[in-house]
Amino acid sequence: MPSLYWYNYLVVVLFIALGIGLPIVAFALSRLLRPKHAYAEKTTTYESGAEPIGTSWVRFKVKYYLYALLFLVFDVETLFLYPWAVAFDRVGTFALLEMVIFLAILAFGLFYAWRKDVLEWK
Amino acid sequence: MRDWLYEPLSAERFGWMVLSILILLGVLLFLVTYAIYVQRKLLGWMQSRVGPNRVGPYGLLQTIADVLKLLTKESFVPTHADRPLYLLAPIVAFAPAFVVFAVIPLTDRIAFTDIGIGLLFYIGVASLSTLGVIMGGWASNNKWSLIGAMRAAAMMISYEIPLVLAALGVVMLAGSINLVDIVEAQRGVWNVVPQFVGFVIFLIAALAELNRTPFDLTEAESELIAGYQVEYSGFRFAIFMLGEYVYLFAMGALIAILYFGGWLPPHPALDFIPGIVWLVVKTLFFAYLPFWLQATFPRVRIDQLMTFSWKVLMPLALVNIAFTSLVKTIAGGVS
Amino acid sequence: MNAIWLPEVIVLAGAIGTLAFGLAARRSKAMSDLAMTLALITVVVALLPTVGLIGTVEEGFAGAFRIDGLTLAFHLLILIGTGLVLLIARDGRSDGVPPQYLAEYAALLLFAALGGMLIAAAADLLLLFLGLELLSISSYVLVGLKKTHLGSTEAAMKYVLTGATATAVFAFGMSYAIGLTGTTDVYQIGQTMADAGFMARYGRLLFVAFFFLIVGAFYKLASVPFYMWAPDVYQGAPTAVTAFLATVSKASGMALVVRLFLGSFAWVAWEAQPNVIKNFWSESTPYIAALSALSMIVGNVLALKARDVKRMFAYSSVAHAGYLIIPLAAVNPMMIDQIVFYLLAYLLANVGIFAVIDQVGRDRGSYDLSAFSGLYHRAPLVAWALLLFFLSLAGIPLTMGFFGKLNILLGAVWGGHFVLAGLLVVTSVISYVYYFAVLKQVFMRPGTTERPLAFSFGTATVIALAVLGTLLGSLFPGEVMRTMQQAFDAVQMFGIYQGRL
Repeated sequence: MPSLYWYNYLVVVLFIALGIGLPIVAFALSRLLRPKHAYAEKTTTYESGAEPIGTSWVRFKVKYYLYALLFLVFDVETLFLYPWAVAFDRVGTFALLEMVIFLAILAFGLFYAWRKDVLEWK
Repeated sequence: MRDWLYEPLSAERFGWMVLSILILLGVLLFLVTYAIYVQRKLLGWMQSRVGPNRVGPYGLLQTIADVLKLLTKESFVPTHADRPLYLLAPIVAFAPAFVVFAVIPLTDRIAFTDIGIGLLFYIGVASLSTLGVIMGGWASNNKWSLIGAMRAAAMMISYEIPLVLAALGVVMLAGSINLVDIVEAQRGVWNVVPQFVGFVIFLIAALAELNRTPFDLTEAESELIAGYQVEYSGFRFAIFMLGEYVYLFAMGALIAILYFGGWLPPHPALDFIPGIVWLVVKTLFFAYLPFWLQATFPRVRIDQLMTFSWKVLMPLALVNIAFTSLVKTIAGGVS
Repeated sequence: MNAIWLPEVIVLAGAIGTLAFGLAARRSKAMSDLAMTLALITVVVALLPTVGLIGTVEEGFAGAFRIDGLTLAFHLLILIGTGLVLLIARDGRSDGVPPQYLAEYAALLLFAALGGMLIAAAADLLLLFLGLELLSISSYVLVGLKKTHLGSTEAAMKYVLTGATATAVFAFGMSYAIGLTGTTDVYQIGQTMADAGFMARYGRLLFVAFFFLIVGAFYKLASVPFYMWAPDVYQGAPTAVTAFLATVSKASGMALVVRLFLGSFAWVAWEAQPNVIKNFWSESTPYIAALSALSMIVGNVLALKARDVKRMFAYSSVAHAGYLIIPLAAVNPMMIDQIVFYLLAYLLANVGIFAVIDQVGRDRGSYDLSAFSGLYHRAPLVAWALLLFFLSLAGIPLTMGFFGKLNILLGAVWGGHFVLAGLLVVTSVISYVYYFAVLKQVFMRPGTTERPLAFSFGTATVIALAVLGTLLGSLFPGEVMRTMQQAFDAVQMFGIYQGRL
């Protein structure tokens, strides 16, 4: 007998509720107990004791972005691989060949990025 | 407990469900408390120190005292922080680490849910906690925090893929992404034997996902003070730490399930010991393993970290998949 | 089963091989040049199985991939266009593209061509979309290849942004079509729509789907309403890429539109009221005709003001897109032949002209009209070739372009679209003005220099081939047309209710 689909997710919702609830309860509790003596010097940004210079909300460099792009490519790839892996026993050699081609193209992409020094953190 | 999912829902049943989840939460909190104690003791012994020994017998109450201290400690929001994000970050960091326990089966009988895509759910939800780290680091408006957060993001995008690709080998062997099925498929031999390469990759990537030594760059005390947590104090800091340790146990349980047969005993002769004991033992081992590594390894540099993932783990994981599928095709005689 | 996927696989392998070649030769310039040659060889090799497949009608990959007359005709157009563009690109490598990107340049052209070929061969919306994206994304990069050139970067940026919008529009239309019919197969969609009562229930929504799809696809054609990217992008891109966008990209867009229109939509008929049978193509005709008319008018009028030759050709290509859409509005049995013949004439003339523009532009460092002054004295043969191309584009009688336009005109009249036919003639006459503005510079204005302009081997080859093709089409239009009809029998597009093949 299959389990009732939404029961599973009811439990997940309970988990989420508790996961969010615990910190909130804890914060509320600590709010009752803790002292409150914030003053301007105390709430300045910590920068090893020196006066903070400028904001830290800055842009990040392109190199970083390239990793993110690679991540996107391979993340989608892995998502594509999962159904294939599950159905591996049933889909036959043709699907294996298709996947080998798919993987080979992606592996070439990785190799290309490698040789183009995308993978160097500079 | 797993049977509940197959029967109609009543108010009473619902109450039991909530209670059982609350018990799990309580157990986890207890485990985390003593994980911190064990960590400090272990590190102490390995460094020829004594470790905590003042509060209570053998220092057993040390962590509890720490929690109480954090509870009563002042916790303020920095003036320049992005207030809503800053307040939200600890919750976002903690909640996913706890939610993933929803799909982890404790034995074939005791499981909270029986989701068909268990492993994907775990991976998908678990990586959300990085979001909390990034939120916290960005919202603090502190340079140390920001660098820490960006490192966390970089690590996530680099190690997530080897992690998932390594687990793919297990999925291929079991033909399912349901965690119960994956354990059942290991009745003959544990996955760690045929998937040893996958296991090593998974372990390394898991350490990076957990931000544990040698990949603890996000909080690197000696260079970033405490990374994304610099501006957090009091109980907000405690929740960050809690999330981190809960995730540690979640990852330990996942490794035990994927590669070490979950609740299956090492030998059928040991069947008389209940499955849940086996799972807990295995989970605790893999949850405490990082502490050992913490005392052994130095921290890697960020560029080494990134290149290691993309240039070593990733190709290795791809080769592992290709090899697994090849062996399966030859051995299984796939038509 | 024939190896129907062979042309695509060859192009893919060639593209990857070219990239790998570029990697192996990171620092040696001679090797990067070889990468260009490799790409060229790939195109030639891919042409062989394509020609070999002529006459085949076959489906593969669960009906997603379809080889028929339409596919093969567009495959040939795309491959020939890409080959000629590669020849221009090979010689025009100093055209601002940094030498270390030559291999990527060649590989991206191949990838874009592969996208176009997939579009032409796809009988499934998802594959269609995949091809469209492959073509688009490769084109975005190609346009921005002159990394240090501001205009090129700006063009790439604009192209990406507008392209993303068009893609969104297309995907939106796709979601309607798939959602309403429950299938992604182009022909299945047509069959589902033909079910009794389907149009009565969803008719209006299907028109929404159709127009979003077609309008999204019109982006590739650079016709109204998505034409605004064309001038900036054509101007900023390396000239060979401009030629690619004007010819191959447009041909692929046309393949997309034709496949969607004829495969899914055109032949659906339904009973609107008792005893009143309506059919899709006649209902959608007024709107397509309006878009076509607007494209012709907008393109030709705006081109009058252009001083930059590449910009002028952007507007001119908008106008030509308008001409190409006419057969869609005026549905008639010869429409695919009309479109393919016209595309061939347009492709040959345009590639030839862009080869000249490239050489002259590099020589003079400017793409202004005045750069062409006195070209007749500097390179008389090329000037005559240019004359032929312009006459063909303008549609002066007894050129290939003329016969192309004549076919379209006859088709429009046959379908009863006298307004469109009239507009075609009038706007063609307008186009004489700006085409002859260039010719005036070439033949009648004295240049600043009389120094002979040497044409490099590749460019000269392109011009020679284009002249040859155009002359053939001009002298024997009937034979060319007949050969096409025999080789790429497109009749199977018209019979979806008699089974798919």
